[in-house]
Amino acid sequence: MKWLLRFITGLTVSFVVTMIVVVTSFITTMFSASEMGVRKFGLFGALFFEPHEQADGATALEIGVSNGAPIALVFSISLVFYVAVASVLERLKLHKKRLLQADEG
Amino acid sequence: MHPKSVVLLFRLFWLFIVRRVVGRGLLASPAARLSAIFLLVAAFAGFSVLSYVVIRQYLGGTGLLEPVLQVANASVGFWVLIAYTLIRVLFMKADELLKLSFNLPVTNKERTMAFALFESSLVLLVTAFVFGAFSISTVLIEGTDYIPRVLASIWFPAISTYLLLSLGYYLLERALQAIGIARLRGLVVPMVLAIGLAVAFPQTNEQSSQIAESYVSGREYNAPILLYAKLQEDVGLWFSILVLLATSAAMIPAIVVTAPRNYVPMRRFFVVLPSWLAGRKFGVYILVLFRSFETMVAFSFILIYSVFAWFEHLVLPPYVLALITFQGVYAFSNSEPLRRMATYPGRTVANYLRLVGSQGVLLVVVGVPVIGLSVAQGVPFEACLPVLGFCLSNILISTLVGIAFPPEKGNPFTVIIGVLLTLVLVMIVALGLNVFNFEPITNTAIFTALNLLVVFYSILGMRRMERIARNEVVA
Amino acid sequence: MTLSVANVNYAYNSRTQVLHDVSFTIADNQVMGLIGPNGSGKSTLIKVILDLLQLQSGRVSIGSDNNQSRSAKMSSIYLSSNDYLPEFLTGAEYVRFMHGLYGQPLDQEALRTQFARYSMRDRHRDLIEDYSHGMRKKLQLIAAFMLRRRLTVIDETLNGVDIDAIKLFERDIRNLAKEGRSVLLCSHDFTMLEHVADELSLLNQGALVVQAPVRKIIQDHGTIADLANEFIRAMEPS
Repeated sequence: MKWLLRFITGLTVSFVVTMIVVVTSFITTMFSASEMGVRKFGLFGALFFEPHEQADGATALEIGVSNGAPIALVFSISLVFYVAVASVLERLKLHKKRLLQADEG
Repeated sequence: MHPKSVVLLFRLFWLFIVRRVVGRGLLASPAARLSAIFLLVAAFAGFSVLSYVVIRQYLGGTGLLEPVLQVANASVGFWVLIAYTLIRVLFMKADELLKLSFNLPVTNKERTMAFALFESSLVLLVTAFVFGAFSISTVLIEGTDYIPRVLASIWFPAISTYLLLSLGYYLLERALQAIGIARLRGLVVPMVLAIGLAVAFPQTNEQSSQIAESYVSGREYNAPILLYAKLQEDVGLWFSILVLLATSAAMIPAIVVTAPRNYVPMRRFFVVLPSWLAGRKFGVYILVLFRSFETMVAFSFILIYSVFAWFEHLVLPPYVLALITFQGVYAFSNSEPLRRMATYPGRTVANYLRLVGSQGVLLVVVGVPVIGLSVAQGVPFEACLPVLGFCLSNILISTLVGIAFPPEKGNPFTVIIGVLLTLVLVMIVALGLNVFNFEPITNTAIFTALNLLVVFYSILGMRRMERIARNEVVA
Repeated sequence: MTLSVANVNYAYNSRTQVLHDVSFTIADNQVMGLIGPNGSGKSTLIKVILDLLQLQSGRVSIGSDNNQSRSAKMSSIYLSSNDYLPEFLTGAEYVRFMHGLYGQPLDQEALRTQFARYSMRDRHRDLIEDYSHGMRKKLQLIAAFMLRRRLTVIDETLNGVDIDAIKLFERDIRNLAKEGRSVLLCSHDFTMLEHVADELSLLNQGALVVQAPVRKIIQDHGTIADLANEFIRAMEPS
């Protein structure tokens, strides 16, 4: 149960981290694109952003994902990092508990 | 009145807030504290960068920044009123915080002034968050020569508006005391502020369009709120500062004199709905929700907005319904005595369902007439459905916020931090998912899964708090 | 036997042991007074008995049931020392809610009578928010006397209650005992304990150091206060 909970929390944290990375890359790409009709890529080619000029003169934005692999990589790295940190913390807690018990004994 | 006592009390309030906020709920762990600070700083930095990039790209070098600054100046009153309303409504619950000082040798006047000082420091923080990004990016783009303009157009009017609002508030409190309904201020004050917002909004819009028209036609536009900017431009910053000091010097003593001498406890609950509901557990959860003054405040805001929208012919989906769904923030802490007073508090899942179920009932009760009104005004019913979906999701999220950041002793700061962090997270997830261009059905599935996750963590949080109370786990 | 506590130990953490091997019983129709200095573990003991704190070692049973069982919880009522009550309810609604929790119908007439007896006539329709500290305590007592559980546990609830109500309370507690119910009454009001308690337990630094009939204590020491003073003197460093 404890490990299942840790896994679900790991998935949630990784999802949020991935979203933060995607949004940051998206905003950076959006503001670095200036020419109409030119497709700009962000997050190692994962995201694209392309402004179009419409017939009425208004600007339309085309955004999307061109390659899911870098996003999946960000998600996986976050998950592994979370699991590693959580395991180390757990061991440190256990170690502290043992030291306290030894101190009392 | 001893200023030293006021300062000491002011420090006590801050000490309480800092210790209580960082020591409870999710923020109890140092890692969570650091993450929260980082997220808030990152949000402000992101907000500033976004503001800088947008202003540079669209206004830099065009000369349009001048009228934009004037429009911002004209809207300062409205924004300060929003910040003031937010803080004032949150502080309505802070009576318990005030009670901390009851056994100290201070007069009621000193207590009120310390609290006013404490409250104004919070309004300053909120205002800095709202106007900070705009001010920083404007100065970065136009250079340091622009600092006097930003000061006179944004910050000086903000200070004067705040002082004026404080004076108005204490006058209102005095008037309520005089007619013997001071205990009802929890309901009356937010209603007055809501009416103020309803009046200020069209006026600010009108002023903004007049400024734009004047700029296009080359006319000069004058309004009382633009006074500091006008003085700064015509005479100089020093004169503008002088006028600010003079008006503040007149208003601060007026506030001190007007602040009530005696303390009247506020009514936090109103007897609505029949007593037989108290015989059932779910009925009691409905009572706690419907009777609390926060619900009454949200309800009065919705009522005033609906009347305003009807007369102004605003044909918009009923977004205002979202206000009623923020009650979840207090749902857990307000109903805490129900779970503490009995030796058998009931199963956690059942208690959680009662918490959100009662909010669902409130949403239906308020939602049916509000949606009916929207449809009568010409909004298609289908356009109301996403709002309803958002409201249902918000009930779940705000309940989780109330569990993760439990507001203790009416401590409003915990609620602000919880709501801010949640807003930042929800916006990031919504924007992030938008990039993926999923089909509506996929988006619905993802949001449903996320809401289930919210339910899961809420129940987990409630169970953990029960176990902490039973000393099964260390907090 | 209504309550049986056997070899209970409790520690909030590995360094703070609060209860040391506490054992006692409360028979049917018996009122037991629990006294002890501040921090001696009285509230902790009460919370362990009522399963509000998880039992770490030992055994607690209410009637023939384990204290964690639903039936044990339904046959006991707890009046806490604080007045942390649902302020959004009226006095009458609070009593109705408590009746709902115990699955018992509410007798409106009896409710009005109890409010009148405790000098709160016509206040049952007022919100608890508007009750004074003493009124909140009286409300807790009214609920307990109306629900009449097999075991009533009172943790310093009488602090702040007026003298008339205390006299009434003494009579009501004795009536509970006469009906075969038991009461565990934690208080610093020694005179009141001499009037109502059959047995007395003294808790000191988490250990039960005295358990004797009140009549015998009065015979041997004069008053409960004299017994307490003797203990204080014995505890003082010589």
